[in-house]
Formats: sequence, structure tokens, C-alpha cells
Amino acid sequence: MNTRKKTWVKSVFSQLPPETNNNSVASPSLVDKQKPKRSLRSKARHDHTQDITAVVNLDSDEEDSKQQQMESNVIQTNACITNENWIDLYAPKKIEELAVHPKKIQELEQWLRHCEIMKKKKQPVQLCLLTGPSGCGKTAAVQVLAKDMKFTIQEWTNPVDQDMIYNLGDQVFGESNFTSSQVDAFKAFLFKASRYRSLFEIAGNDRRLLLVEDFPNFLLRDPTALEAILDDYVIYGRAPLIFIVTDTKRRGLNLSYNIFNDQLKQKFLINHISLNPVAATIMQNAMKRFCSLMRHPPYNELYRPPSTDLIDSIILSAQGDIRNALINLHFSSLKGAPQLQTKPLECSQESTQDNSKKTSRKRKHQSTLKSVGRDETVTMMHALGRIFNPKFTESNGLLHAPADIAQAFVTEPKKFVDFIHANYLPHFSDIETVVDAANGLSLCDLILNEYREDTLALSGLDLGVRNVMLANRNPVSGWMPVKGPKRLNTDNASIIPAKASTFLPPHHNISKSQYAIEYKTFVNIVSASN
Amino acid sequence: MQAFLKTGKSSVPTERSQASTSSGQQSGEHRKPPAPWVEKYRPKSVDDVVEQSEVVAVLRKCVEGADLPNMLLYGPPGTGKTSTILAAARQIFGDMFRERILELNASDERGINVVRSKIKNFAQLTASGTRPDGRPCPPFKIIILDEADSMTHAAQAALRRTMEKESRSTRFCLVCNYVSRIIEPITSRCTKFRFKPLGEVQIIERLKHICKLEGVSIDEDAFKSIVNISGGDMRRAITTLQSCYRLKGAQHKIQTTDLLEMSGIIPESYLCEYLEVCRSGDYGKLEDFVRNIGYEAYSIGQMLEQFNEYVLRCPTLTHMQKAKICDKLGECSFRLQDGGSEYLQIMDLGCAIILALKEK
Amino acid sequence: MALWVDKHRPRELLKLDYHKDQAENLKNLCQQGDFPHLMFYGPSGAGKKTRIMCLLRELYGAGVERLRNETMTFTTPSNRKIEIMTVGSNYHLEVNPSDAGIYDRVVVIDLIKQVAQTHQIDPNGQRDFKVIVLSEVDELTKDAQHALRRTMEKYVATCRIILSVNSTSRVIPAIRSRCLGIRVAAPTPNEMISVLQAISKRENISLPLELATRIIDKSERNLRRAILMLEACKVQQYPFTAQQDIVELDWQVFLRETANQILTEQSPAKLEKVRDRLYELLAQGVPPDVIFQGLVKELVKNCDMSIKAKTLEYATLYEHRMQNGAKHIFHLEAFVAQFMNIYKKFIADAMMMDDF
Repeated sequence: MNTRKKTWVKSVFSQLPPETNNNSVASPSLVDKQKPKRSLRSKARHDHTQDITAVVNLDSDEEDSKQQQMESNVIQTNACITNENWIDLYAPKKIEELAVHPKKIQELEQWLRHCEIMKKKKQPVQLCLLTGPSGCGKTAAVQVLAKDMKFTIQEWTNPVDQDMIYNLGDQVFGESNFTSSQVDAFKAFLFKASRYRSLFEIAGNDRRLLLVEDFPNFLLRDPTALEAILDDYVIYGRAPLIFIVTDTKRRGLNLSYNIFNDQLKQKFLINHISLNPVAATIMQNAMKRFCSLMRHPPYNELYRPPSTDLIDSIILSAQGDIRNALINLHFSSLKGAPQLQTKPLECSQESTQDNSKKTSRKRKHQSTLKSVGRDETVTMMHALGRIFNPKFTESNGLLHAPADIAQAFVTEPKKFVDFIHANYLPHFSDIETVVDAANGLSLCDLILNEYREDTLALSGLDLGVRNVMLANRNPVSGWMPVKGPKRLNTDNASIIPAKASTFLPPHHNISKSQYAIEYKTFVNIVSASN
Repeated sequence: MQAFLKTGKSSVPTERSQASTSSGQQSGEHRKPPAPWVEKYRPKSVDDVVEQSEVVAVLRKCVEGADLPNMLLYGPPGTGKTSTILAAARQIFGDMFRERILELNASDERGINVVRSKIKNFAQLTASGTRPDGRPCPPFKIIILDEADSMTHAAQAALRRTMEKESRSTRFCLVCNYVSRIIEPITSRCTKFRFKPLGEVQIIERLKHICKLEGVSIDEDAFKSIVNISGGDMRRAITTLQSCYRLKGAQHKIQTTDLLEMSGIIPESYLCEYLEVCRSGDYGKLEDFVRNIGYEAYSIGQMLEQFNEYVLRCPTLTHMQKAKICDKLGECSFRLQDGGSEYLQIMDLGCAIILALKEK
Repeated sequence: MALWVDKHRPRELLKLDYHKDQAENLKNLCQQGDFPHLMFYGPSGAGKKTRIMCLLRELYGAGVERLRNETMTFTTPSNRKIEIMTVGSNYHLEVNPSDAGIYDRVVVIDLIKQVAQTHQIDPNGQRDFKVIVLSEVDELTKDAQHALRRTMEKYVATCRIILSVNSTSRVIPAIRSRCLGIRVAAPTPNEMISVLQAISKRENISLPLELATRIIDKSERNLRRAILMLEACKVQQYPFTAQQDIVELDWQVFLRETANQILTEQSPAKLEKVRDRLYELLAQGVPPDVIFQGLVKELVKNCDMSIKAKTLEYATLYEHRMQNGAKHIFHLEAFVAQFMNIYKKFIADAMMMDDF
């Protein structure tokens, strides 16, 4: 209760510059406070259990209760650390700690300074669009820089409760209500937040920064709505506005493509800063920082920084996603040390499990650098590479199991197979080997077309992938560009041109295939002569 | 009640018009299109049913007043399954026929929802033991599920409870071609009657009867070919006769050739030629032959069907050759039915036959 | 501007150029009170559509020739709108439901429903039903065919359906048994020649018999094609000479070249080139089964019997898969790969034999 209350209070004051590590001071006292309480409760529980088990064996019970007590202590100490958001703990506090390329930081910094200058000149407010793949440090960079330059960040969050209310009963009228109210809410946020200062703000500081990372739904539905809002904002807004957009592979979900088109960027002079995935060296430094944090009290109680090998493999698997790397690091370095003493049996089990995990990871790392955490998001390109250049282990098995690859793309099997089909031929050296691959793909298409059975998608895809991989006995190595699958445009209009239809009877019902195979040649000849 | 009778198959309205004509009203005739002969000459009473003695015996008892069991009638198409139960029902209920029967066939929506709503609702209606005019009448209703083998298993399973619960006032009669497609719990609740394919004599007798009433002039030999075309299917036999009559007009005397042309049967000379072409081992000739049969617009599917018979009967082929040919024939027929190209399938078969004939 | 093939199309049953017995039969059929569902089947260019139009004229009189185009919109269960072009008169409606692709089922059901539920407007019309003409029914999916069978029964009171199909093998038996089949065989060469000559006469051109024979040889007994060829020849060179070039269908030429490429080299790189050519054909709108058939015909020309048999075996296998699959190119390509493999071995063996 106590700790929860504390975090709640803290969140309200999030606009205040947070005092660093005030938690570490608070935590011991917390433990002290709670310990008696908890032990009391555990004693009560102990008494209770005693009533039942006393007859059986008093001694062991006594021991048990002791153990329980110890356990609860341990849990307490752990809890006080874990309760604090551990991601926050590692969050960069200084510019040097950011895992972003210095040039990009500079770019952002310059933009912020530029905003200041423009504001003094009474020029319209500046807008900025920050894009990059997930976990490359977009938000962190903004936050750290803002703190450094004494900006106050105000962030928009989608009003969740409204959403809930209107979606519960599916009233028709609710929807229009809902959109307009959300639009209003968003506008209100933009204008009020930029014009009126917060109560907690330090007097005299009017450096404010608006951040939109959580895009209101109406913008997703109607990208043009943003333009209207920005029109107003450029006139009335006071604070620079930053949009943070995560890059996605899917075009339909890609906000920076859908909403922030070039036209819009031109119109409002939006400064587009695009971040790259975190480079391996920068990531390594960041990991070092995390590890050193772990070694310091009180965290050393909880963490045991893993071996450098493991860290390397984590970095590789994260594919430039620092958040993902941190999560992996966090969980691989958590130690269940206190529990080890109290429950030796489980502990040994756990440790072996831990060991096996580590060794397996190590092995993966050594042999393949296979990812630990981001397995499901193997990119299409990676998967294609694995399929076209199959690698074998010493025991003659495939290094990348076809089943795994198939599993990763089971949600859009047809698209994946199209890609395989469009690109597989150049990787084959011999027609003899192509036969099996082509056969596999043909079978795969057949199976995938059976829509009534869901599980067939996986088995069909697996079959196709497996055939292409195994058929390729001596693959052509070397880099080849990946081509997208061809699309056939078979509209009626594209096949029967308007010119030709003047020759056909005015009310004909000639199908496109009939036109193509019977009429086309002759109509062309006849029409050419006229 | 009326509403869902209308959704039944087309036979229902024609039945009605037929009932009126049989009672001597000719006025509706010119307005309503004349009923197809299949409907017009459906057996009117159980005794009219040709051949199926067991079921007739049981139904005759019921008509005389015994209780009717739940029934499952199965057998090849056109053997009189639906006709039998309809005739029996008409005899049992007389003019209350329409209120006491729910007939559903595959043309109606017959998923699990229909079983849950329509069938249940109908089954729950009570049926009194007396007619409006006070005469006694069997106190139950009949639900006829035509083409029951095309019902989903889920729908069949849903039917199971209804059958049991409403057994006091409702009898079910399931009609299907394949009893194996009916789930076990249903078959065990029904008395099963198998309908045998009709013999040549019965079909010809019926056809002659129709020809006499309709004034069709027909060659005596033509009856035999109708029987051959229909393969023991009375409905098909009557339909063939009627189509032929329609096409050729009343003045024309129907000949065997007309019937063959009409039914799309391929003349045996083609089958013969096909085998001979293959025997020559010349791919070019085979190609020409296949192209030709395409120009003549004969159906390759029909051709394969007939060729199967032909091969089995053919005296000049060894057993080994027959086995090989039939093996391929089966495969090609399957692919053809499943959407494969006619040309490729029959060419493939031809090549296989050429190879089979080469090795003696 | 109209092409000869449309200009000289017979409009009445008794003016048809061939199958005169059948025309007589169809006339008989119209005179009777009840009219069954019909299925016209026969090869392309044999005159199915012409006969259907003549039959409709016989049924309803000249009113059926007052045609109009109409775009009907259908909504799929997934809320997608499909637009289908229809041609119709007051009495009939002509649709090619296979244009709707995988949504053909919706089109079939909704179309018949819409037509069947609007009764004949003309009270003096001698028929109390409308006619729906469905072309290329053999291209419909099985699903759509089953739906068609049910709707056919349901609305038999207000509408009749005339189907036009190329191959009855692809029509499910349930539909076949509900229709009266009308076989339209391709015209014989002599019949075709007389048709061509009649057309030339009406166009006031003189057609040498030899050229006519050559055109008919090239036309594969397809009368439409023959008439189009004749007109194209006229455009290219007139007066006619007996030996003048006859225009060939460009997709056939293209396909033949593709087959030759396959025969010259068998390698993955070549296969990729062949794939591009096949894509080209598909993009032109040539149906994949026509491509398949044409390829096989060309490829087997230079092989011995055992290779021919093997080729056909693979062809049937992949063509069947293609019909049930979604991506036609996959199966075409797999077939070409198989053929390349067989053919390469065949050539290698032949070389070995030569060496000895």
C-alpha cells in the first residue's frame, strides 16, 4: 500500500525536475517500516498453520516459519527495488548517456536552440518530426535534451475512458460524438498547454515543449485533419511541438508516411530528424553503464551482471533496439540469490536452468549470433537470406529450422511466399535443383489457398520454405537485390482499351479473357488501318 | 406454416396445382406452367410405388392406421424415396396434408440454426387426433428432410435431441443417397429402408404409361436406350423422355439417336477410335483425335466415364493393360472433376494407354 | 465500324448457317408452354452465344435486341463492393459472373434474386418469366456453382437460366442434371467456308477458295476467329491473293517463342526469363489454362514418346494444382522447371548415344 501510494504521488509531480535517486534514500526506511508489519502478518499466518500442523510435527513447523520469515524479508528488499520502475532507473540522465549518435543529438539540440531564437523574434512556432525504429532512443533523447536545456515537456495522452464508454454500447450516434470530442480534446491540449503555464512551473521559465507520441485515433482515420489543426496551431501556438513516430514496415501503419507527407512537411516547415537503430558500439557503452549501475548498491543485491559473452549476444539480438536489449539484460541478470539459501532444492534447479539458459545462449551466440529476445520479428529480408543461403550445422541439420521461419510469417504466409517466389531463382545454380523448389512452392500455394483450415497456413508455408531450402544443394552465393513480387493488373479496362471498344458492338459482353485471346490481335490490325 | 412451405422446393406449388387438376379443375392450367412430368406422374398412393416392397408394406400398415416409426430412406437417386413418403403422407392425412408436413431439402437453408428454430418450432406444434370435420386422424406431424446427407454433422447432431423430445407428436423421415453420411445417433433412431435401383421392366412400363397419357410417339427400341441412359434412375428416365419430347415436338417419332444426342452420351464409335488411335502409338494422331472430339463438343468427363466401361469390357486388352489404363483413368477423371483441363487430362490418359499397349 | 463478326451475325433461329436441325428443335422448345433451364455447351467460336440470342428473339420477339448496358453493384459479406457489367433488355440479362473472381458466389446469388424478384413488367408479354444468360459458367468456383444450383430451383417460377459453357466437365453434375443440354459442335470446314463466302459476298469482296481454306486451317474450327482473320486479311492486303499471309494471334506467336526458348536452354536463369514472359501473357489477360495447353502442345513437338508421356504427366499434375491454387505463375513455373529437367536429361542421353 505504502509504496503504491508513493508512486502515485510521484506521478503527479512528474513535471518537476525529478531528484535523481531519491528512491535509494527512501527505500531502506521503507523496508524498516514494513518489516515488522509483514513479519507480524507472517506470524499470524504461522500461528494459524501451527494450529493445523502442530500435531504432526512441531519442530519442522518452527523451522518452516523461520524460513517464511526470512523469505518475506527477502521479498521485501526485492520489492522495494523492483517497485521502482527499473526502466526508469537505467534511463539516461545526461546527454553523454544517450545511446543516440552524437550528430543526431546535435541536430535536435540545434533545433531546440533555433526554436528559442525564433520565439524571441516572434516568429511562428517550430514543428519537428522525430522518426526512427522502435527503441532507438527517440523519446529519451527529447526528454534528456529538454531537461538539459530547461524545457518543460507536456505530453498528450489519448483519453482512454471516453474510448471505453463509447465502445461499450455500440450506439451509432456515439461515434460522431466521440470523434468530435476527441478532436476538441486534442486541440484544447495543444492550445492550452502551449499558452498557459503549469502551476508547478518555476516562475519565469516559459520554455515549454509539446510532445505528441500517442496519436489520437481520429488522425489515423483522417490524416487530413492534422493539417487543419496545424494551420491554427502555427498562428496561436506558443510552444514548439514535437511529433515522435516509430517506423514500421507496414505501409498502412506507417504514420510518418501516411500523416506526415512531404506536402505537409513543406507547408509547415517541419524539421524531420530521423534516427537510425542504435549502433553496436554505442549500445555496448550503454550496456556497460547499465552493468555498472547494477553493481552498485542497492541493486547489487538484486542483479548479477552477466558475462560479456552474453551481453554481446544480447546486443546482437536486439538489432539496434536499446529498449529490447535492456529488457533482456534485466532479466538475464536478475538473480534469485536470496531465495537460493532458503530453498536449496529449487535453487539448484533454478541455477541449472539458469546455466542451461546461459549455455544455450552462449552456444547460439558463438555459432549463429541468433537472437535471444526479438525472435518473432525476424525481418523479411533476414528470413529470405536464411532461406536462399541455407547453412548447415556440423550434424548436417539446417541451422535455421524452416519451421521457425515459417512460424515467424504465419500471419501473412501468402505475401512471404510471393517474396520467396520472386527471388529464389537466382540463388539456384542448376535446373535439377530448381525442380524440387518449384514443386514445393506450387504445393505450398495449393495448400495456402485452402482457407477453411487455419492450421494449413503453417504447414503449407513450412513445406514451401523447407523445399526451397533443402533443394538448393549448391547455392549461388553473392549479394542479390531482393525484388518485390509482381502484381498483375487485370482490370477489364486495362485489357480492353477504350479505342478497341469502338469496334465492338455497343452492348457487348465480351469477357476480358475472351477479348485477349480472340479479338485483340485482329482489333489492333483493323483499328490501325482506320 | 404457409410461409415456409413456399420456401420448399418447386415441387410444392406444383403439387398443389396438381391436386387441383386431379380433382377436376382445369381452369388453373393455362395460367400455371404445366408441371414437369416427374411431378405430374409421381405415385399418388403407396400402392403405386414401384418395386420397393418392404417399405411399401410398412407404409401400407401406417395408412391403415398403425403408428408410423421415424424413417430413414436411402438409396440411389430416382428410386422413389421422396415420392413414396409424399404419397404415404397424402394418404395418411388426406386434405390436412399441407398442415401436417414440413418438407425441407438441400435448396433451403438447413444449417444448425434452422434445425434449432424452424424444425423445433414445427415439431413443438401439437397435432390433434381429429380432423376439422370430426373424423379421426393420426395425431402426429411428419418432417421430411430431403437430401439429408448434405446436412452438416453439427446440424444432424442438433436434430438428435429434437427427434427424441418431440417423438410424441412428430415423426421424422430422412431421405438421402448415402446412409454413411448420416451420423450414427440418427440412424439408430430410425427404421432404415434401402431403395433398390429400378429394373428395366418397371421403368419401361412406367414410361409407356406416360407416353400413352401424353400422346408421345416413340420407337419401341428407344425405351431400352432411355433405360440405358438413366441407369435405373426413374426421374432421369422421365426427364430424358420429356426433354426429348419438348425438343423434337409432338409430331416427331422419338428415335434412339435423338435420345443419345439429347443426353450427351458419346457414341461408342468414338471410344473405339480412341483405343485404336492409342494402339497405333502415334502421338500426332492422338492429338488430332482429341482435337476433333473437342470440336464435336463432347464432354470429356462423359467420355472418360464411358471409356471406363468400355475398357473393362474390351476383349483385346490383357488384365495388366486394363489395370494400368484404369489406374490412370481414375486419376485423370478425378483431376477433371476437380477442375483440370480436358485436353491435358485426355492427352495424358492417351499417352499412358500408348505406353501400356506397347509393353505386351 | 462494327466488326464483320458482329455485323453478319445471324439474328433468327431459322437463318442460322449450320446445325439447322437443332435450330428447328429450339424453335419447338419455344412453342411449348414450359421452358426448362438450358445449357449450351461447345468449343469457343462454335456459335453458342449467337444461338442463345436467336432463341431469345424467338421467345420474346425483336424487343430483346433493344440492349442496354447496366452496371450492377454487389456487396460481399466482407463489405466489399463489386461492380459487374451486364447487358440486358426488358426480357433478359446477360452476365459473365466469373469476372467477379473469388466473389462470384455473391454475384450469382444476388443477381438471380434481384432479377427473379422483379416480375415481368409487360403484362401482354407472352412469357411469365425472364431469362438470365450466364456465360463461362465453367469458370465459376465450385461454391458459386452450388449456390447457382440452389437459386435455380428457388426462383424457377419467375426466371429461367441459360448457361453457356465451353466444357461441361467443369460444371457440377447437379447443375447439368437440372438443365437441358444443347450441344453446339464446331462447324465443319465446309460449313465455315460457306459462311466466309457468304460474308465476302455481302461485303462485295471476292475471296479465293484457297485462301478461305487456309484461313479455316489456321482458325482451329473457330468461326469467330475465322471471320476476324478474314477481316484482318482484308485490311492488310486486298485484293486477296491465295498465298497471302494470314494474321496469327499474337499471344500464340509469343507463346511459341517462349516454348522455343525453353527448348534452347535449360537453366535457372532461363527459367526466370520464361517466367517474365509468362507474366507478360497473364497480364495480357490470356487465361492460365490456355497458356498451359499451348505450352504443352509446343513443347512436346520434338520429344520421343516417353518424354511426351512424362511431360503430360507433369502437365496434368500442375495444371490441376493451378486450378485449385491462387498463384497461377507458381504452377506454370514448376511445370516448366520439370520439363527443363526432363528435357535436359533427354538431350544429354541423346548426345551420349551419338557418341557411341
